[in-house]
Amino acid sequence: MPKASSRLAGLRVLVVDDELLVALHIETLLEDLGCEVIGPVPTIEKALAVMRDEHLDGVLLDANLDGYSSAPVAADLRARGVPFVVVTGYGQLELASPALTDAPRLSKPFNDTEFEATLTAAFCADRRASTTIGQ
Amino acid sequence: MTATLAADAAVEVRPAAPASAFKPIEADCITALRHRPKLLESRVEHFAATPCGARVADLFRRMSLAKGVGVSGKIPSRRPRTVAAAEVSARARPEHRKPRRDTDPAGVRGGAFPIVGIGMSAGGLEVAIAFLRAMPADSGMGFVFVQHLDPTHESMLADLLARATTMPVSRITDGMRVEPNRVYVIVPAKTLVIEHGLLRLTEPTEPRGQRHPIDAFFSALAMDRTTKAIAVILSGAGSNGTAGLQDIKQFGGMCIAQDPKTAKFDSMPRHAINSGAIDLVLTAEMMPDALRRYVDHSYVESPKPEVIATGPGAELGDVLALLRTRGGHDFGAYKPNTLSRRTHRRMSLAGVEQLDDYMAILDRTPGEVTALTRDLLINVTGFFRDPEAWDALDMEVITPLVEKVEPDQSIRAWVPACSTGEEAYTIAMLLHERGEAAGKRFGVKIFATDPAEHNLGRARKGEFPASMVESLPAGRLARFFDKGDDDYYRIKPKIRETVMFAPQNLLTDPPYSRMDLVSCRNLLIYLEPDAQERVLSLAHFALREGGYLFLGNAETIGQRGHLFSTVSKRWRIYRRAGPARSPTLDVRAWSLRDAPTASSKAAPKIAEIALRSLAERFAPASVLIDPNFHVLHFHGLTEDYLSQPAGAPTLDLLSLTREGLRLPVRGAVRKVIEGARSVTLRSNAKGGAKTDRVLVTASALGDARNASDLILVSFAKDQGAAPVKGLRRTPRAAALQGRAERSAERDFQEELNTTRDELRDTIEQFETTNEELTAANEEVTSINEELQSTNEELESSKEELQSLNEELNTVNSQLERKVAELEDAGDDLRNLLTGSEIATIFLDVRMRIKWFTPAVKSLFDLIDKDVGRPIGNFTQKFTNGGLVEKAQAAIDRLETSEEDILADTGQRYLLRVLPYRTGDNRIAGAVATFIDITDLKATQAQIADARDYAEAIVETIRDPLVVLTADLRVQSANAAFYALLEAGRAKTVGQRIYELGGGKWNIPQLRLLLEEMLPLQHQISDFEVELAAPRSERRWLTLNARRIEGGQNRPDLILLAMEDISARKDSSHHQDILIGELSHRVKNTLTVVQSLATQTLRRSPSLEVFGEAFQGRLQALGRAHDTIIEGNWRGIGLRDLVEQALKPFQSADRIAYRQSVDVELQPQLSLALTMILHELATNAVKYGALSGAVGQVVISWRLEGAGAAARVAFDWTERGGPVVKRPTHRGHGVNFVERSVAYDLNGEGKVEFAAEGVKAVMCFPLPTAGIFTPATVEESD
Repeated sequence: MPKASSRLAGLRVLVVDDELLVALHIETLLEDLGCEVIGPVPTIEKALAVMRDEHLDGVLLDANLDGYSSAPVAADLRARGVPFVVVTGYGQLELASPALTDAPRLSKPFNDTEFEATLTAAFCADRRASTTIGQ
Repeated sequence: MTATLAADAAVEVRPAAPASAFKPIEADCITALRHRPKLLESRVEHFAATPCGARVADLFRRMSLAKGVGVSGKIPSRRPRTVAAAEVSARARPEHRKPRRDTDPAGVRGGAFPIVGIGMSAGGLEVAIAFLRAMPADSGMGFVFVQHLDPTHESMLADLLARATTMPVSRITDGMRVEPNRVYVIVPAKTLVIEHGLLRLTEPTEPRGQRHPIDAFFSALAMDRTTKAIAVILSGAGSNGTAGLQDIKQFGGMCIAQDPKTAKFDSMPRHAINSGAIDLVLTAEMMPDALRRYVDHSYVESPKPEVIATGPGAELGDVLALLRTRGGHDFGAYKPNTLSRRTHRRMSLAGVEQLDDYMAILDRTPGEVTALTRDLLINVTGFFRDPEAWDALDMEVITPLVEKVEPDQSIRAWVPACSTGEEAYTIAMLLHERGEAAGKRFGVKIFATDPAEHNLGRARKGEFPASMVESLPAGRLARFFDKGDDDYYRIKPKIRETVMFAPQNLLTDPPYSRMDLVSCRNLLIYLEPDAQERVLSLAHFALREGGYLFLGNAETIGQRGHLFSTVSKRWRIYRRAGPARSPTLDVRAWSLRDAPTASSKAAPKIAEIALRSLAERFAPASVLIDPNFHVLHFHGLTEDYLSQPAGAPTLDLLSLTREGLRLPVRGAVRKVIEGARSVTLRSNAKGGAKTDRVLVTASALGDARNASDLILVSFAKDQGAAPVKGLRRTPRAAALQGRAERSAERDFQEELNTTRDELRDTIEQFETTNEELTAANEEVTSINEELQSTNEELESSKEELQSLNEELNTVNSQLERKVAELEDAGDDLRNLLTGSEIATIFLDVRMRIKWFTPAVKSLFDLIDKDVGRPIGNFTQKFTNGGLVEKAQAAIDRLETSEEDILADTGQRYLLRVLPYRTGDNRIAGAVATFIDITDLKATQAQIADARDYAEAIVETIRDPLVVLTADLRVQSANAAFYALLEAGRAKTVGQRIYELGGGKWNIPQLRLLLEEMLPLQHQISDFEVELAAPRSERRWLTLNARRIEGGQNRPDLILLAMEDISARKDSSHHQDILIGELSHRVKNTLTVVQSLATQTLRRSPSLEVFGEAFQGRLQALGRAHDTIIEGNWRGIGLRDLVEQALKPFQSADRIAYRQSVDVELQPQLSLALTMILHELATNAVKYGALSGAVGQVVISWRLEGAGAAARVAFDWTERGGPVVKRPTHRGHGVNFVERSVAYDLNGEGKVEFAAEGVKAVMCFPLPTAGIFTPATVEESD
């Protein structure tokens, strides 16, 4: 049931989460919004590899990947200028790195509306701007 | 005070005055000198041999100086120096001497260039060197140094001086010519003079010690160079040079003295300055300038009156007018020549050439007016200064006085303001000379008075420096002076005795009286007009009728012609005029004037009128006299017996008595005086025009009651020629009387006899009286002598007493001041001791109380009266102490002791006993002080308690405490701190805190706290720091720091209390992590559940299917969590995990395990594995081996590889179930299993649908380092 009306439609979005069930859930939601899902990938290394090879419009990044902080990924994303949303169960607690803490955050568990709003806010500002420029 | 224009006097030799003073031959000499100087040249030697040679020489000198008369030839004298002077003076102006002129080159005549004579003595050398250093070498002046030199030693003076100047320096040899820009130095043991530019050395005639080389040279220099003679007096002892300066000044030269303040020996300069001859007082360095200024002035070259008299502007008259207005001194009588020359000289000193300029200086500088006035007067005291005036006095006053004086009378003179007595002595000498000349003996009384005691002291001594008197003619010098041992001349006693010195201020003290001469020279010029008036009035009063007044040359009696008549206007000699007034008569008249006035007041009574008529008619003419024949009352007609003689009116009966009555009057009165009641004598002579004999009756009046000495003398005509009782009669006389009428011849004979008798009688009486008088006179003279000497003694005693009194006054005032100071000090001390409330007791060496403060009364039963009693006698109100022993020890051994004592009142005192030292460091007792230390002791105890208390707390406390000094060194610390530091006290105290524990305290936070925050904030609480040291674990501390303000005795300290919060910090951190993790896991799980629900829902055809599947999956999830928790979040065995995961599906061993090893897995794998196994088992139950009754699932795994490469190969194999049909699409379960293995286990999984059963093969790595890593913030670094 893709929502064609979503502004997120057509975005290439990478999902980084160490838990397959969670990743599948996110994947489903993204597909519903018409996004092209890249991944998901469970580890930092794999995420960095994908980020190196693929064009990404946005990333959903779990703060904790198999017990490791995903800060390196966040730093890399920031460096690349790729917008990303941190998905975490830590709620509003401070995360391991400013790159994570300062990024838009999606607290687990989340519903569809929340998911779309957060992602739209995070990913579409740039896009709209670039679209405007493109026109 | 004698100020004369001596030099001018010398110039103006008046013919009359000196001529009359000399014998004819001398007068001849003078005349000759005046008119024919050459004539006298040849006669000088002749005169010199005469006794008056010295006077001639003196005169000659003056003449030659005055008139420029040059005379050669020697004038021998008793005083060789006079010879030298005469010789010099005779050659003073050689240009007037023809024979000499040819041999004297014009360039070196006297006065060609200035010569500076420099006199010095002790201490003069360095000044002389300074002077020469400052003196340019081309000044055009010649310099001659005269010094006292040890005759036996070669002088180094010339060599020393030569180093100070580039001018050539020569030792003087006889006949050496002085040239400009050269320096000449005297040689020892010679007298140096200068004669027309040639230096002359002679053997000194004075004995050693009495030589005046400086005076001698200065005098010679003055005469040789006049205005170009400059005398400089430098440091030296004695008065040498002072007399010479007078000559320099007289001849118009200049005199400089070294400033006595800069002189090592200031005696010479001081004498010089005091003499008044010094023009400038300068330091050696300033002298050259002054010299140059002086010698460059026109005055020096040409001291002529025209120079200023012809000035374009002001004239000399203006100067004199100014002096008259400013100083009140009229110099109109002075010769303009002199005045202008002296004024010109002052101008040279002032450094101005124009009289206008000098007038300006005079106008604005009062001091210059005074200086000029003094210069015009030449304020010099001396014997016979201004000789012409003295000659005039001699002639006009002294001579007549001496002529007139009766033998045994006295000539009285008064010299007010006598200064040091020269003037008075001069008068005495003149009187003496005149008296000797007249061959008369008479008394001389000269009263010399002065307000200045020091002057009188010198005058009384009658000692004068040789230089003062050497100018006197030798005759006078020898006659009036004795040469003393030193260079002093002493007035001879015969002159000295005639002068009486007494302190008297002319203006305030009563004057003397009945003087024949008052010499008041140069006093008036210093006085204001009204004071002058007073002085002249006093002089008038003091003089007897006809007495003389002698004033100074610049003084006149002004408008007081009614008081004085002029004797000599030129020489200011006046004579008292005005009403005759005898003080004795005045007094008598005054005393008698009252009596008749008083009696006339009473109304005449009838009886008195009757008595008076009777008396007039019948009573004889009588006079009432006193025993001195002084008439007190006339009665009746006395003209027959008395007559007023010519001359002054008199009341002397004997004077009044007519010729012939004197003898009977005197005889009768004398008898009455001798005791007779009444005596009548008959006169032999006829009284007046009458031929009658006269009976003279003298009766004593008064009885015992009014015993007056009045005598009534009555005169009566002798009508009866009756013998009178009491008349002395002889038989021969009676017989003669019987024949009297018979013969006139007999009358004459009788009269002659009577007269003879009376004459004899009178002669006898006269002789007796004369003897008596002589005796009385002798007596009186001796009494007078005694009185005089007594008076002198009294004078000197008085003098001594006065000086003693003065001393005593001084001492007394000093003592008074000292006493006042002591009183102040005593008050201060008493107040101090009382105010300090320290009990203090002073004891003398015998342990008696000297003094004590009021506070002592609380320690001893003392009252103020107990001072002086032994301290041992008093009960002491304190327990111990041994005060007496301690005091004794202090006195004997100078021991100082201190002891705490307990008073009976319970107070504690510190008893301190010290020796009592006097100002001269003598031990005069002991001082005991009792200082109340009760409070101190209590406070000390409190402090000790508080300290113990604090220390106990500090030591007990478990938190580390450390006290730091201001420079952050450990002062002290408690045990907990040492424990924290793991170091002992020894290694800690004194160390800087940053150095402690291997520098682990050296951290920025602590530095911030201690060095920046604490100085500002005083106290800082709960400041956290982390200590990390290489070899010990991290520590978290909270610090409480407090600055403890120091006082004067203690610097600031820092108290640092710390609390080790490391443990708390750890647990707290761990807790935070757990909470975070819990949240993370719960929410993650929820998300998983959400995902499960979503995924399940999407693949479920119905809610029933969804419900079953979702429940199963939730349960699996739950079991996975059970597994994790059972494994306590740590490693988990694979077998346990599988069994747990498949527990719901296990029935009758349909699930079999084939494995060789158990494998320890990381907990995070359990969820994925459990879910994978759940999906496989669910599928088996639905469609596979477990769906039927017999199927079986075999699970096996094995470990492949080792270490990091170890992998687990896991097989799920179903068999015995229904035939497997390949599904049309891969279901969610299969898909999930395969993806999960890849995704969650990082392995490979494959589910195969074989016919005999589903077979799943999984292979995944076995992570060896499955470390549990929290994802939340743990630490910043």
